[in-house]
Amino acid sequence: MKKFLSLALALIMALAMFAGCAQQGAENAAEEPAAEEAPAEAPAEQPAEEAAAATVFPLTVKDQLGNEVTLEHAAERIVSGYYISSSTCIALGLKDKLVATEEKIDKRPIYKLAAPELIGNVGNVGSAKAFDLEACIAAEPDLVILPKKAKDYAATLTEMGIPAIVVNPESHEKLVEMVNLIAQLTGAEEKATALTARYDEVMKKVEGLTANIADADKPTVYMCGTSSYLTTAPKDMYQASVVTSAGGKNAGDSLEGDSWTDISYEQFIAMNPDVIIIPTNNMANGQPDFTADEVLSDEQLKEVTAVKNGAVYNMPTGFEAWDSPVPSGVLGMLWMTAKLHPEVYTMEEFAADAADFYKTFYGFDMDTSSILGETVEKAA
Amino acid sequence: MNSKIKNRLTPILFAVITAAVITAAVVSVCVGKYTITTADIQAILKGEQVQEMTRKVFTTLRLPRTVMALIAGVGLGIAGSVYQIIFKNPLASPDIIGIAGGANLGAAVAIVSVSTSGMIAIAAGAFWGGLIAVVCVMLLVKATRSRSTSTYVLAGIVINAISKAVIMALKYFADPENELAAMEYWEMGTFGNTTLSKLLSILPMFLIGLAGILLLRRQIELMSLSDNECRALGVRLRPVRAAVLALSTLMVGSIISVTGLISFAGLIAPHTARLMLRRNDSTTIIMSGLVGAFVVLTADILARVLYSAELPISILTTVIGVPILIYFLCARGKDVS
Repeated sequence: MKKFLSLALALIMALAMFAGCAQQGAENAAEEPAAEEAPAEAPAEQPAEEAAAATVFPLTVKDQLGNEVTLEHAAERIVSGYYISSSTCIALGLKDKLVATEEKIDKRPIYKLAAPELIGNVGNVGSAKAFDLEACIAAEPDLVILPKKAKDYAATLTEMGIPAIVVNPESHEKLVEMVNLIAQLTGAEEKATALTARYDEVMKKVEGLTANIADADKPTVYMCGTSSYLTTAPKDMYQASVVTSAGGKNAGDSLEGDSWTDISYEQFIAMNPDVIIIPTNNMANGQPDFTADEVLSDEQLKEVTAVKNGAVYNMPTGFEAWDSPVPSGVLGMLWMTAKLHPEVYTMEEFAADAADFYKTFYGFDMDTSSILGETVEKAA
Repeated sequence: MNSKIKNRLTPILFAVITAAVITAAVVSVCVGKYTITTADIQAILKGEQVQEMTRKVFTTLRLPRTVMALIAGVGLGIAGSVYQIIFKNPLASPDIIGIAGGANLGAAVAIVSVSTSGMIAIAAGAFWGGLIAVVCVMLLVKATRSRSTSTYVLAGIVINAISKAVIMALKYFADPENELAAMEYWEMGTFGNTTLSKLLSILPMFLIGLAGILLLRRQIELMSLSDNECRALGVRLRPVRAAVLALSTLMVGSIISVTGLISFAGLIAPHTARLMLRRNDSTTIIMSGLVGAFVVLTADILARVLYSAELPISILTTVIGVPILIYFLCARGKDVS
């Protein structure tokens, strides 16, 4: 018995040492596959052609996590792993090439409007957190686009010989980079150039419109989170930059961070915003989890200027979440400008600009009545 | 029931559960979103020509997933059974002695701090988190100078509580879109991301843990007696307990580092096994492993087919495990009355 025990203990001690070494090994291993796989996938003779102006296949590019991906020809069968890349594909005129998308596309308005033929007819690869590898492979893609959350699945796909890129459009610059990356791999450069040119145009326009607004005339804007109005956009969040460029002061600028942050009623009252904006929920059905009425009727917020003046607005629902870096995100900036400074840019002008954007890039006629209806209601 | 009938029934029960596990494993290999026919599988196993992608899907995804579910069930079932015996506590499971909490914390730290290295970092974090938590439990027990089993359980609860608090803090400061979602999802577990390389990387540790536990099964069995009786029979309690804890942590840690937390399997399998066999010894440990394998394999099959996308495994292990446990509880109730 004693002998056996000492043997078992010796084994464990040996194991502990082995494990100690294994940890370093594992850490190295974590780096290695990435380094080894890439050359295995990309023949060594292939020169990196990221900078080449005209796209020549086979093409090797770096995705937004810096992993190299090689395509033998322009992608014809695309699997898009989440909404933002799917929407980008539609904007780039690639909807016919989508063979599978994320789940619940029937719940997002943009698909019904711009690509109803996809609903029920393309594969479903689940969500970024529960990505369905087998369903993805079954769709026989020659390009898979995944969000950062699903980066490990991209590695597995690459291992299996299916080109997969990871995109991470967390800011406007990254969004543009993603648009260009997808365009390059699919031969949609022309559309991408037009789309990004439109972005620049819109941003210049907003800049011009708000350039002469005096600081004193800039309202303090409180951006609510999508799930609760005691959540707001701190200083470094994309939503904060939308407020600032539209000629407002972001109430949450006093908070550090780059993602939705919880605050207390006291903080809310101390911020005392002039305007409260409720963004469209990026998820599911495009409706936020609470309404402007709930904010207006909250006893604790009675003394807040925005509530007193009834200046609590929902961003338009039924399209896309314009408060976030989605392909139509520039519309958020325009809408906000119209909302905060109707004296320089009216809601009618915005409706026309938004309709033109969707007509040009998504090919559908936008029903602007909900946007305009809201202004009439407020004016009344 | 007298012991004679009991002994005669045991091989039959083992045959039935083994057949059930094999059936579940075969079904598991055949089910998935990518179509692989049984003819394809036969051809692959015989080494004949099949479509290249079919072979790749089978060897890098489908088969490893089935094997992973099988060993996860076996590992959690055996670990749960061992804990219940050595701690003489029907609530003992990997959760209670701190492994799960520690692994969860390790994974959460990896998710928050190592943003680019992904799954490997999370797996390593979970594994070392679990291991460190158990070491802490043992140190805590040592510090108390108490030799009773309840000290281990209490120490486990303390370490678990600390892990939970830190996890809550991490969650609070996490980015809700990416990190928080990843943490929540890890806690629900999935086999959807199992690949051959991941399976191979944890298999040695799992096997070492399993082999060690099986070698120590006699000592473990004796530990179901009171501490004094154990000592009288020559079991050196402290080192054996430490060895069993270390080995089972190796086993459980290696599993959940790949799959995320799998709730309930480690608790339900030993109870079911004990109710089936009407005893609590080393046969129960093996039976518990087989029951665990059946529950987890079946849960994973359902996770793939019930819904258009993958469902988290913990929902299903609970849904499947509970009726089985209730059935045997009622059966025992009848027996007693």
